[in-house]
Amino acid sequence: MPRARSFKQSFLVGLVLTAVSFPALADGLTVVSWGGALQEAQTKAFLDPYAKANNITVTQDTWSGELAKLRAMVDSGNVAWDVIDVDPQTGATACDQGLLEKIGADVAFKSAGLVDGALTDCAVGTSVYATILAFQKQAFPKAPTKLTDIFDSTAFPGKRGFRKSPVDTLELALLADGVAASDVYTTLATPAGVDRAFKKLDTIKKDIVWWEAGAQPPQLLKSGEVKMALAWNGRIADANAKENADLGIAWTNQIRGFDMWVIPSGSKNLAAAKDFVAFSVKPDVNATLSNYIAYGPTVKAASDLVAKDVLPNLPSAPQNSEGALAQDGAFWAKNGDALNARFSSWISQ
Amino acid sequence: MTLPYGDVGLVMTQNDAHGAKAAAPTARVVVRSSIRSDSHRRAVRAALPAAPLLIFLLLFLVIPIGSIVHTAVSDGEIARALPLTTQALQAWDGDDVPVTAVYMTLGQELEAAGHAGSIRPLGRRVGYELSRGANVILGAQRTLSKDFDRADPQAWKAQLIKADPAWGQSGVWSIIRHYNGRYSAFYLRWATGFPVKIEADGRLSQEASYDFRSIYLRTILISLVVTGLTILIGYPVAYVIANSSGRTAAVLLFFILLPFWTSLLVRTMSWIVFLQTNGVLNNTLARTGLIPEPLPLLYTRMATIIAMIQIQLPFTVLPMISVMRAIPTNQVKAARSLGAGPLRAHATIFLPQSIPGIAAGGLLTFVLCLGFYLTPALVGGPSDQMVSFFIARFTNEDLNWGLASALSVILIFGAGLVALPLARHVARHSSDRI
Repeated sequence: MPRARSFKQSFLVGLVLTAVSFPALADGLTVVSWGGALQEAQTKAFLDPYAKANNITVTQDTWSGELAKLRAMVDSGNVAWDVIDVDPQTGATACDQGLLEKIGADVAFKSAGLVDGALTDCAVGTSVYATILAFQKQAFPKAPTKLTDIFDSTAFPGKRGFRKSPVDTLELALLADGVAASDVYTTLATPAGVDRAFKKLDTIKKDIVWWEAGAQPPQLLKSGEVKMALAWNGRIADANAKENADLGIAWTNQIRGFDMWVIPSGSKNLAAAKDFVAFSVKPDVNATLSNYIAYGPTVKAASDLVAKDVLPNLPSAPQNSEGALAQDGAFWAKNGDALNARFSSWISQ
Repeated sequence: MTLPYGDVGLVMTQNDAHGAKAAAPTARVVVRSSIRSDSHRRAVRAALPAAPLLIFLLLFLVIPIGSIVHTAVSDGEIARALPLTTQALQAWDGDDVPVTAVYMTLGQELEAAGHAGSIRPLGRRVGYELSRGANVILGAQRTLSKDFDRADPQAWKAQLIKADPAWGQSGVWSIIRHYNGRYSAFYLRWATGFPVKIEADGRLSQEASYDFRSIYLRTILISLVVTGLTILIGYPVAYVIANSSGRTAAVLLFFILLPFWTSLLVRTMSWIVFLQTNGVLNNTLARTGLIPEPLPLLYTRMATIIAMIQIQLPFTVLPMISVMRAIPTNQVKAARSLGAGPLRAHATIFLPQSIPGIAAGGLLTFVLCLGFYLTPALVGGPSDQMVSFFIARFTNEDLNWGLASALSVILIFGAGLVALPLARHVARHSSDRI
């Protein structure tokens, strides 16, 4: 008898717990981004204000663009995420594979007045970021001035950090090998162009330290593990501002992308998720992100609302834009699988 | 009087010869079966204390390994999603393309798979073997949702080829034809480094892919180096501990065991602190003026090997100590008294007798090293990663469980192949000492 009672008791406790936790799951919104300074800024600019205005619980998670996780969720029909931050290529690839809701056609987003490229079939851009070259200021007698300097190990010897991904890496290898910015993607679409990019990477492979999360490059630079690293500009600005990292940034040849919201197909809170995305592209809301991280707005009407003192740190500032390349999501959606496979095997050799 | 039962028995056989003859077979059977059931019961009772072990082995060894093997050979996505197409294709000779009717069957099954939600697993599976395979499958399903004459097989064919020219070539068809069952050796072939990927026209793909053979070779090589070095470092340590007594031995043993009580992760992280560019070692060397600028030590194979040696040392040393302790010291003394020098006495008397310990410790270290994951992942570079890293990668990131399982199966059976004969050898030669 005592055993039966304890079973009944624990069963009831479990039932109560489930009942208590379920409404929280059903009402809340789970937003996923890339952690670190970006997610903190998004929390302050988008998530907290939205949660407050709508009296809704916003749960957060982080990822690094690993599509397999998303694919597993969608395939199993157990979608735990509602809104996800992607870069253009992740968004386009996932959209192509049918993993995302096609929200791009919604009037709410079409009429939001987004800059060119910030609205695609499945993704709504919320901020402009750039991959830039960050370096320790005292490491070299002559500071690097452009991203392609990372391939010059004679003038700039020592370890250098790259993101463990073919995206941006291959484009930059071609730029460094003398391909014009306008020809990068057409060259990379040919087998010879891919060979050329990997051949260029081979020249510095032994000096490369690979990073996976955006918070790593400032860390690697500060600890002296690498002397220069490709990084997302907001992360470096954040480390300089908050941790006195004193890191230099070379902007020329920056590779520009959008942080975009997408909604996985089968999201359990589709309406709320769309409402949240629409909230993020209201001009006044969209402009506030730049106060917390050095990423620019995507809403045209928001650019006048950005505080004047942060403008020089944004990727879109004229003095930063020389030789800028825009990441081509559609290219990666088409060629990503093959290039990822080749990259993974190349890196493990 | 001295043998009362014997007498009685004798009397009985004499008096009841007939009855006994008749009763004997049944009685014998009863006795024998009661003896048998008794010994059976006794055997069961004797085995009872081992039951937890057997249940444990079943739950945590036999069943998991069995399920890994099962996952490695399970390959039913194609047959499950396209049962009629695979059946119809058995009649196709593999040249050119199948008959037009098959296109219609395939198209209908693709549509059904789209509704059932099995289209993406199918696309992924075909993509493992056909370059751009996922696009070929998903693109076909998408194009078929458009308007065309559904009664005409020719229209289905045209629609599919319009979706992707690969449908007009033999590659994709030959893949679908081949996987008509639920099991295949595809993942095992892939994991053992055979080329598996083909182009739309059936030629082997030139696309670069993982070189699993060199990854296995690297795993074995790193494990061998670590084993060799732990033996070299551990042997003198074990010798000193085995030959000292009381307090000294206890203190030395304590230092050997100390790493056992620290988490593997903590030990590996402390190697990062120690080896990084501005870490303890580099700063010390720079301060003494031995090196002009910091050496790149972290994210190298050397760092991997050093950290692995530190972690494996106790596993090598402890079996050596237990064997060395059992070697009678007076044998070495006898050799010395007969004129052998200290080195010769050691090499001819002590060393040969300690070999079972060296072999046991070395074997343990080697087998454990084959499965290392955390340490190379944290202190090694991308080209120092061992098989376990790729198993984890395919399990967690690519979600290619078939390949991950196939890699595991090869690792398990490879390690078993090395370990079992050696282990038997060690056991045979050390049974009289331990």
